[in-house]
Amino acid sequence: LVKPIGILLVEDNPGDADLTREALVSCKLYNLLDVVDDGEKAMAFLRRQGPYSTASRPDLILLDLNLPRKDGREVLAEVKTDEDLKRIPVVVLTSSQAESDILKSYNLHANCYVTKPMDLDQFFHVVRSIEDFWLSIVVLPPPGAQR
Amino acid sequence: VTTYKPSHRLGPRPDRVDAAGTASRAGELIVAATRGTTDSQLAAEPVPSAENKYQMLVESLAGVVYALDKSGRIQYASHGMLDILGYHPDEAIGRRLTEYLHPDDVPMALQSMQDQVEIGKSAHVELRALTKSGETRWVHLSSRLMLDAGQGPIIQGVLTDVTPLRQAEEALGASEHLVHAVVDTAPALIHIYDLEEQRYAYWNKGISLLLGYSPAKVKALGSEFLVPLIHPEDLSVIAEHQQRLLAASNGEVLSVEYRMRNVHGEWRLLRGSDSIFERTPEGRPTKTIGVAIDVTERQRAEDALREAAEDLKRSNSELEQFAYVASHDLQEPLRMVASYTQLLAQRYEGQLDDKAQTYIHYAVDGATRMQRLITDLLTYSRVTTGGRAPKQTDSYLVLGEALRNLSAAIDVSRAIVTNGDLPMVRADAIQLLQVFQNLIANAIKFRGKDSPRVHVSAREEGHDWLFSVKDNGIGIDPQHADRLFVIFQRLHTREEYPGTGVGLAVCKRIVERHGGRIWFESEPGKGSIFYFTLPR
Repeated sequence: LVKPIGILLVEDNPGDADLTREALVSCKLYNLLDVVDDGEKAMAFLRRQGPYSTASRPDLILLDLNLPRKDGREVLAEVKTDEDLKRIPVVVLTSSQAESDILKSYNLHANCYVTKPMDLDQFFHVVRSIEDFWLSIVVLPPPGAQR
Repeated sequence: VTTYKPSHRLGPRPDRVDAAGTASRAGELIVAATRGTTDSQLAAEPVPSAENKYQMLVESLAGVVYALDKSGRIQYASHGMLDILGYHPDEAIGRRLTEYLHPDDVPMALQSMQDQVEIGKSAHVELRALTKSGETRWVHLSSRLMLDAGQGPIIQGVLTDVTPLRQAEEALGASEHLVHAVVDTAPALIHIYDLEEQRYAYWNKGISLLLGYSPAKVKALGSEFLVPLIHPEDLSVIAEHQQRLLAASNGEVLSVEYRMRNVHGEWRLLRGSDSIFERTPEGRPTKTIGVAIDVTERQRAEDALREAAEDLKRSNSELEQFAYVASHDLQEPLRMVASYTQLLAQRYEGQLDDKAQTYIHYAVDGATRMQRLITDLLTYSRVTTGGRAPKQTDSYLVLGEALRNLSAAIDVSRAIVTNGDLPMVRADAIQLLQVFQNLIANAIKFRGKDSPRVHVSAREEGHDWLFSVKDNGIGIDPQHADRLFVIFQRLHTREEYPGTGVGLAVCKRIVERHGGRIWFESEPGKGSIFYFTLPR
């Protein structure tokens, strides 16, 4: 049995979460999508705290920037400075086209920045491309590797 | 009479100098008459006899020794007459002394002589004499009445040339006058402070000009008058400043700002520049001089400017905030509308009739257009907030980049874009790119029946570079000239030509931000030329 690919989607807009889910359902890779709707929950999930004590470490994080409580930039900064979490690829997936957001995200070591397209087919295409690229094309460090 | 070895000279170097001095009543030296003689001259002259010695002395004086009879006629004049007035003594014998004086000064000379004859006092007058060549010389006449048994009273005197002294005095008077005039006209408070007596030794009229205090009020304030007028909070600043001033070197000027109360009770901000005015021979400062000007208005203007700059910064950051909202928060709901209507159409394909499909199309199209409008509006607002500082830019390279960006549209329309020589300009390259791109894209979009031909060129015109983008498109009715560059103004329906009506408004904003102008010339049906200028 193949171990499913774990994806953590941090997204506060349920509409967008559903669209992403729709895109991934018809995906060729067997994946397991977890969705949290704010930054605090995202950090708790990654650190297996509270209700997420049994959560598994995701292989890819899809991160929206504007989130309630703890926003995406803070999540990004925390993940990328955490010795344990920093190797997980983070794809910023957002509506924002602001130059400042793009710059800030890369400065915080986002692995890539993607603007959500307006057109549905393009949106599906983009989400699938992300998954395909990060989970079947690139080589990632082995899960248990340290430093 | 003392004989000196000459130390400096004006004429040929004499070996011997005879000098005679005459003193004024006040005891100061008025003139020193000197005469130089070379040894060869001495050798040529016979050794003087004792009787001739006084005669020689008189003749060698730089002044004129003279004797007048009671009617004022010259009985005798020494050789100096030739040197000072240009007349040979022989010419002068028998003439009145007054003939050699400036007409305006004759009455004074006559009065003096009359006084001498009547009262018998000696006279010292300074008046103007006229030389043979018509020049005016200031001369000092020092004379006294002598009673000669044979000839009655005669006046003996010495006339000396005091012109250089007079000129020096006049120059001194003029510069003193100048200093006074400057000091009392300057809109500044000028003061000299006596450190030993701890009081102001001098102040100019600035105290009334700047602060409105009358001389009487100043007097009432006492010698420390400036101190009680200083704002209590600034006294420590002044004290510190004075400490620094005491340690200042000569010529060093120290500045200080402090508030003083004017006669109306208002605080005025003064900026003082102080330095050491006087020291003891050991170098200890004894007096300081200060010049203070009123900088209240300047300070107010600076404050207003700073406030305006802060306001602008605030409003700019609000605009940035708006831009962010537009680029992010407005996009998300629009995307929801567009995506879910599309999803609806896909999931329920076959269950929806044509009408439903049309409605979905309208909804998606509306959302897409709304998104375009928002991004275009954002582009427009960013011309000023997001622009970079203009720097030297090769407009030819920028055009090349614009054409690369437009390559798809150029290929599809089979457009031919040509260009003339394009200069280096001072511009924000990204914005210049936008201008070229928008103008060329329009030239292609609004093409006529023939395949589009676009020509970009530039030429110097006065202080500007004049760029032009010429096309063979449908042209523009000149009656729409006013609306053309206004944001969201369109001359065609969306069905004819898609677009939001932002492109030319962005061009105008960019060109104007660079200090240029934009306009067009067109003949409908034949084509248009868009012009814009950039300062050279």
